[in-house]
Amino acid sequence: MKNRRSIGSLSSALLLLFSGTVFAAPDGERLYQQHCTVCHGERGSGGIGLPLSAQKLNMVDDAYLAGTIRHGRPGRIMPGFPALSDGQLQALVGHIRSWSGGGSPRLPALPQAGDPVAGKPLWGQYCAKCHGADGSGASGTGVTLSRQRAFSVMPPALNNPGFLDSASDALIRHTVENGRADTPMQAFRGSLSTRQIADVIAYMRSLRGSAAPAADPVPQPATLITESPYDFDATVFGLRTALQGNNFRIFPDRNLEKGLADELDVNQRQLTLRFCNFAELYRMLGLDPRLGILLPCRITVVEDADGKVKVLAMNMNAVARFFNNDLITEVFHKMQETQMRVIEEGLF
Amino acid sequence: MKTAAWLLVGLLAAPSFAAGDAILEAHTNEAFPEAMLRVQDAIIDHGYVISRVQRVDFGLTQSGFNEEGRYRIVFFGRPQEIRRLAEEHPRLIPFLPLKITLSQAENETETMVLALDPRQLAALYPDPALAPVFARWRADLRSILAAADRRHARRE
Repeated sequence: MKNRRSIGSLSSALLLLFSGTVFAAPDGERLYQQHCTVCHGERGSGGIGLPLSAQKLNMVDDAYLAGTIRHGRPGRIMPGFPALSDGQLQALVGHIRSWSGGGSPRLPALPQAGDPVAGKPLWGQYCAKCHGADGSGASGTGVTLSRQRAFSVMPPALNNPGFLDSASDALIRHTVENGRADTPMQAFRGSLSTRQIADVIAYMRSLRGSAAPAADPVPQPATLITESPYDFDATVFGLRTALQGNNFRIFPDRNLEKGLADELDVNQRQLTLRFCNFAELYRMLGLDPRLGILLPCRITVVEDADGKVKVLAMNMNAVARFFNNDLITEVFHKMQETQMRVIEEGLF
Repeated sequence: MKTAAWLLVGLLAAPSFAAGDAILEAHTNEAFPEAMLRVQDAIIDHGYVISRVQRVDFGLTQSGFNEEGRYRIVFFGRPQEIRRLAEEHPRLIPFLPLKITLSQAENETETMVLALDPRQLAALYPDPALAPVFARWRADLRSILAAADRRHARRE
């Protein structure tokens, strides 16, 4: 009886807990802190994510902001938040608007549908220079080692499904006609007629790409392990030679336990070869400055208790998904090929 | 009753999880050396040993890239734990020791403090024996990053 009463009380508590969650109005500020601050900064100052300045916010309507949050930019750094309810999206957008001081602009609808065939040459003439012939825009993201806050906007990927699903024709028309202040995006009012803008938009929509990287059909192991036919020292020598042959800068080898254990107690049969191509690293940090959390340019040689020598490396293809960026997926795929080539050459 | 209690605890303790949350991240407006010191102090306070700090920015500058940006990686671990994991779970070796990255772009006042969320490792290595290790790493990393988070600190 006592237990039954306790369960009843607990059920009531749970009910209250849930009802509070379900029926309370979503808190936009809390949601922003929870999901957005780390990339966009407090009050939209920017960071890895683009700055959400008043000027930019005043150019776009609430539907675009809500759509962008919901869909993200597949294959680019901005994740989607499909689990957020309409109310939560509305609260988030309201919070973001609160610091811009402006509301959602009224955007006049396009009077007619455009013709993508007629829009193609116009795209080539007016848009392709910055946004690319295929609409893929420029590479990179927010503030990085190679791109500073002063250059906070790059030509976006207009073929991205997340953008196309978020931006109405009216919004795109508004942007084309008026340009974007403080960016290279100029106003085309006067240069392009309403009809021509409709044609350009129709062509832009035809460029819709599959920006998300194809999922691996088979889950991949995160570690690549290759058994060496040679003894420990010969394996290390072979790999080092192969790294030099592939134009890597090589740093002093380092035992896995070095710095953690007493020098005399360090396992000498766990050796990490460290290497780098700084040009490639600089380019990669421009794509996403967070890549250092992996520091993948390492191959470790281990001799186990049975005397077997193994070469271990991070599987770049398996970890690329951490960054939600198809440009990084592509770079990691190439790095993986190089890494495998080094291991094959080193153990040949 | 016990099951229901655990359900309640689980409901209350369930972390918020946004899509794309593979990376734990904190920001600070403290000067870079102070931010680095705060991270290292927090790492030690959590019972880890710092094995080294890799100055990635130094290599970039020497190679003709980057002039003012800072990019450093702090490696750390608990010696016995790293040894045990390397022996019993050698597949983890490419991810050992643990790492925290501090990055500050040129002319920026904000430093990003970053770590891979160990939940990602838990997904890659679904071994029940490793689950508590990843869970503790995650709790520690979150705590260390929280200690480093000084978004409103005045910059010198």
